[in-house]
Amino acid sequence: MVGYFLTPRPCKNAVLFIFSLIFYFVGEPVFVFLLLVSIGIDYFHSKVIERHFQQKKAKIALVSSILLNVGLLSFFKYSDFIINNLNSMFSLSIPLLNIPLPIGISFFTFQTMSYTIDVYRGEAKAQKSFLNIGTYIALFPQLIAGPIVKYKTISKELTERKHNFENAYVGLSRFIVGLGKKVILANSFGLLANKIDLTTDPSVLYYWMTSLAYMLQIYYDFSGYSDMAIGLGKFLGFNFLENFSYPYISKSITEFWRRWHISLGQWFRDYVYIPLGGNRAGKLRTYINIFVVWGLTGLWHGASWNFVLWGLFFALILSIEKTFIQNKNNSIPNMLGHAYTLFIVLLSFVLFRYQNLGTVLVTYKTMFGITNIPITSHESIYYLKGYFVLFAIGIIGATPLVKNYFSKLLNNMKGKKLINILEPAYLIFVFLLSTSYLVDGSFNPFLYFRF
Amino acid sequence: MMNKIKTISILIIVYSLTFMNIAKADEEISLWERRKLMQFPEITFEEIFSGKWFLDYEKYSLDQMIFRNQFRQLKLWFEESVLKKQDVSGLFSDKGYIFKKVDYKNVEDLDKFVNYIHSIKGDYFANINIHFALIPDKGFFSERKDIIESELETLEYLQENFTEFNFIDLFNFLELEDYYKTDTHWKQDKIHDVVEAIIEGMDYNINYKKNEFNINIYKDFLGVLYGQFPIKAEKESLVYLDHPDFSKFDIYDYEKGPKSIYDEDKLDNMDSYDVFLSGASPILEINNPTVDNNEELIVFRDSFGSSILPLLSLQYKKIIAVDTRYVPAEFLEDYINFSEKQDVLFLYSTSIIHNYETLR
Repeated sequence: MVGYFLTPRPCKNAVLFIFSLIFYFVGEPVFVFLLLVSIGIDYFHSKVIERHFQQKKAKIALVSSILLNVGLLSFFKYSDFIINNLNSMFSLSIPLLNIPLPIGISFFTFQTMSYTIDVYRGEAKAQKSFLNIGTYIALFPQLIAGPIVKYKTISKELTERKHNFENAYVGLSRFIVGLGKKVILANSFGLLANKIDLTTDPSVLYYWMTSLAYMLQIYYDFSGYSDMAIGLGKFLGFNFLENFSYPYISKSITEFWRRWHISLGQWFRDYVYIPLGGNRAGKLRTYINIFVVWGLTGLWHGASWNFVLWGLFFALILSIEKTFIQNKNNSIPNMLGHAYTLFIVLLSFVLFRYQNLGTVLVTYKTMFGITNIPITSHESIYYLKGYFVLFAIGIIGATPLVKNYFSKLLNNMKGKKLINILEPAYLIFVFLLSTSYLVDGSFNPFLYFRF
Repeated sequence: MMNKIKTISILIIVYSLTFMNIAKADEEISLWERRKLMQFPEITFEEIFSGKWFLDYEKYSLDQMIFRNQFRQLKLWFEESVLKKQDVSGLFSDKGYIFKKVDYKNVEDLDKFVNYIHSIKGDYFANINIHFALIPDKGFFSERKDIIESELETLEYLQENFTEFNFIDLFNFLELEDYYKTDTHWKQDKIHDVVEAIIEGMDYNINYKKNEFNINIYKDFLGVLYGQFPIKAEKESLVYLDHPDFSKFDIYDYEKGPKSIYDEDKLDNMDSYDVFLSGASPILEINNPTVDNNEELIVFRDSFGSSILPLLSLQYKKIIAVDTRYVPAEFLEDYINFSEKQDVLFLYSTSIIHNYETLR
């Protein structure tokens, strides 16, 4: 960081690019070459596309770029999934390839594809400098876990970004808050969520409680990481778009997906749903498009049928909402909308969590009392009491209540002065507390790293 | 201007920590955590390109973090005082004692443990006097009402389901000070009342004289819980009692061969409690040629048994101590000659009963 800010402006991208490659190398020493290949593919293809804009060669180059990117992603992420299914369907014995999954491949291949497609569409100019396009794709804050940044949103900032203390402070604050969300909240909820897999004292309450814990874990894990990425980006002068907008306050699943992993939803909307015709090719085609997009969304999350089913589950709900609810939104009481959305999302994350569909089924059955497992148990009551405050913090933190309160405070001078003192103190505290959690614990998985 | 001040303030803290970390010399061991700390990993081509070096570096940087102990205490404070967690990683502290929380099951689920004991009885001891003594967890003597309630529920449930056994209540013969501050176990020099309660409970005339013992003291005792919980706890004295008759005992571990009552080499280990009968063993036979009876006792026990067995052995010609965490109950007849003349004592702590899955 010091090196970046001390470097003269013309060299800043070089510093960023090199540091980003080192950052990726630390996690994936061998696959840094894959990242360079992925950058190279779209750098050269986009130049061809622009040179032959609106001609057949441009289309060929686009198709080639997409095939290569999807091919890379499929090879590393889906090979064994495909082999397993072929073996099951046709009673074959093809050996698995057991290829390690490069960190963040789902993110950076989608990012590179968005760039090439935008150049093809004329929405962005092809970047002449390999260094600049490499900086965009490999930019370390968002490289391995998003948000999926569209080239056109930061193309200007690649060469003309502002570095000032306002950006630095906003970025630093965001980063520290994200760190706290991930290390303190997400990991704590994760510890509770995992207890259901180890307990010998299960109960219906335990299953609901740990499912809620998982729902909060995944939110704080992913939104925390997005905050860190957006914060670091801001610190460096980049303005990434928001990736999470309090999704758990949604009143419908349609609204939920406008607030959850926004960059992914927009990617599928802009590059799959709309090219397929969106909702402009008749009702039946609209539903087909929805199911295709959500099946692919599910598959993007993981090479396993539970993820595909998870995506298709949302396709079904979204289709139902589109048909029966969307135009009648005002007639549904807010509380009912909130309760319905949270209920559906909570159930969906059970399917998301377990690759073994048998476990999913047992979990659902237990949650709805269709097994012999008792309603409560000693252990579940114990952990409900022990995690009550954490749940309260987690649930309130997932709403804009705190943000709104402090926004009101900023409306007057006294409040502003108070915030000016309290906020840095709070951030330092969160930073130190996050450090203490890292130092004390070894339990620190990032759920979306497997993507 | 305000943004400048705020940004610089935060960065000063962050970078100060970074530079202090770099300047700090690496430590080899953590006395507090009682373990070796990760050292700077060796740089090799293989380690770098396999990614292992970076994982090791991460562990190294966390292990060697400046103010590591203080950071651990900060986390503990936050979890106890702000999040109001009832335990932190299964541990909590009260009155200077560290407790490991038992994962209490619903008492109704203890029927599997009850059935397990009944099956052992059915297989081997149909016609023998059988006694059951429950050792309360240290937590029973804390301020934690939920733990007290769970311990009493366990006691009540076992009393109701072991009606054919002679149930010996040990709860009234113990208090918090009879346990170590940083270990789950009781102190050998504090359980004379328990020994007498057991002997009397088994209908023996008490021939047990507390003042016949000499005291050996190990002053630097820190129990197994010490490293796990980041509170400052003082070293305690581990007392192991000596008796003139102990030197005549013949002790045989069916797995490892002859043993002595106390293995003083173990005192400086991570688990000093292993001084008692060298720690765990599946089947142990203690022969006492000094008594003028032919009484034999079979004790099904856990780790608490290690410190009490030497004291009980003063009453018996032979004690066979069985730990079915290490030997399946179904194989016992291959090693032990059961007879109607033997007494049988099941001596288990609450923590084992609620983890009955560990019994084989």
